[in-house]
Amino acid sequence: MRRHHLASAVVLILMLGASSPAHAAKPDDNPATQAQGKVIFDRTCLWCHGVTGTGDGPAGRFLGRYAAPRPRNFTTGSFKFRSTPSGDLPTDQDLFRTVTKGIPGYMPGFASLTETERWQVITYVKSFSPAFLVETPVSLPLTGTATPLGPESLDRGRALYERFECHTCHGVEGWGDGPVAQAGDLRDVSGLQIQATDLTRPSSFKNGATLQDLIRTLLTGLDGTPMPSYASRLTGTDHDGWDLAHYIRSLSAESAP
Amino acid sequence: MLLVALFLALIISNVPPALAQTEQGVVTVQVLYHGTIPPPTGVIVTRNPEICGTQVLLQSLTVHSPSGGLKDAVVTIDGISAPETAPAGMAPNVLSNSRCSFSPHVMSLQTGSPIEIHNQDPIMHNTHINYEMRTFINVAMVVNARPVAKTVAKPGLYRVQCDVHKFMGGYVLASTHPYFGVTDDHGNTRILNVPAGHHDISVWHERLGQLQAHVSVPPNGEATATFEFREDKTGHGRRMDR
Repeated sequence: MRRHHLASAVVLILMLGASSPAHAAKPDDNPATQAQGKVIFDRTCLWCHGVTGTGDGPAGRFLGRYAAPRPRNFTTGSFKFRSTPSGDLPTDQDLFRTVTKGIPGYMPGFASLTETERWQVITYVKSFSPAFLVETPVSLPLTGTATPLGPESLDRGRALYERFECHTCHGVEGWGDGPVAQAGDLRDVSGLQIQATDLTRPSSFKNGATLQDLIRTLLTGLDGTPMPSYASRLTGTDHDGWDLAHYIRSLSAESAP
Repeated sequence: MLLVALFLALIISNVPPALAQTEQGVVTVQVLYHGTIPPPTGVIVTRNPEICGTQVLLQSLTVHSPSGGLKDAVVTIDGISAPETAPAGMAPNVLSNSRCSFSPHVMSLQTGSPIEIHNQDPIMHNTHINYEMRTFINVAMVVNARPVAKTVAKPGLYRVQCDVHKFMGGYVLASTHPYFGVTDDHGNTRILNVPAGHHDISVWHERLGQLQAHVSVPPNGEATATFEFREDKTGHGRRMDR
């Protein structure tokens, strides 16, 4: 039994840190790769993210003018979708996941690019922020055991949803209509009003809607937004992250991804 | 007599150069505000009024009467390096969520030391600290949460907020050296162990901005500086060496 738990934990750590399909074809991070990435960036990313990576491309300047989100400003070193602690840079695998899958409702996925091309463009994107030269992001581990979906897990998850005060922003039923959200008090780092995610529509979850995606979001938070990290509360617990993820998924009638 | 003189000469000649250069003094600073104090801004509390109160009065100018001493101003020696031997095991700087406010409201610390975030309230806060446009940390501090610590690497101004209670705010000013202080209720602070010599010194306040002055710190002595902010946001610093 103990061996089973250990194996589950190891598998989960691997999933969180490297939950990307890419394991091969990653070129070296050097000027030649950056130059190749720039060609792809100018062709596919520049329209929203801009020549200088500040999120003010010809199309980007019209996106999110009055409400978040705006296209990512790569120069700040602040990224929402990561497997790393709050405030840290994303890993290369994190960036690869976002480029490949896109962001539902906002950014298209670029799986049409070859793996090598995606790695090349990531190398170029990283060159916009000097933070990537001095910081080494490391994925957060979660030493927990996957719990099966069932009444006990959902009850525990519901209790955690209340204790963590998720309803403050996401609402009691998860509709994104909590009191702080309704008051219009939620702002992103640039001061733009931002909506709390409607948890009954997992197909619109920007950071993915699998159980692993939800646990990753709970652990890391979404930098630049009010969504905080629950890593200090979840890390080291046996099944809290899984129970809460099960409960959040249960708020929707959509079938599991 | 000759032997004594030779002995003293021998001791002086054997003083390591680094030690000779690290003669230290104290800088005593008073920060004053002259002008009318604007009335506090009242904010109606809609979230957790049972803990936070039904109304919060926000006042960014805390001035002692009658001295005019200004609280929560950060005084920093400019253009100075950290001592070569850093103090072992830098103590954490505790930032508490307490009665729906950040305590302390203004904190100064040396880069390389951790901020340790606590929650003493029976409600959830999220302590959200930004450095310019980048998140430094944003953590959910649920009831009875364990403290969360993170080391500050970059010098500069960090803004602290709670997204659940928008009236909560604070500041962290990080320096690359240990020569700084935050003024107390009377507008006073003392900076210890400052290397003797001429130094620029500055004061920063969240509402009134920044002033600069110059001090000469005598070996094993004390230098005094007074900063005066004025209502029209002008002001000046003056020094008085002892």
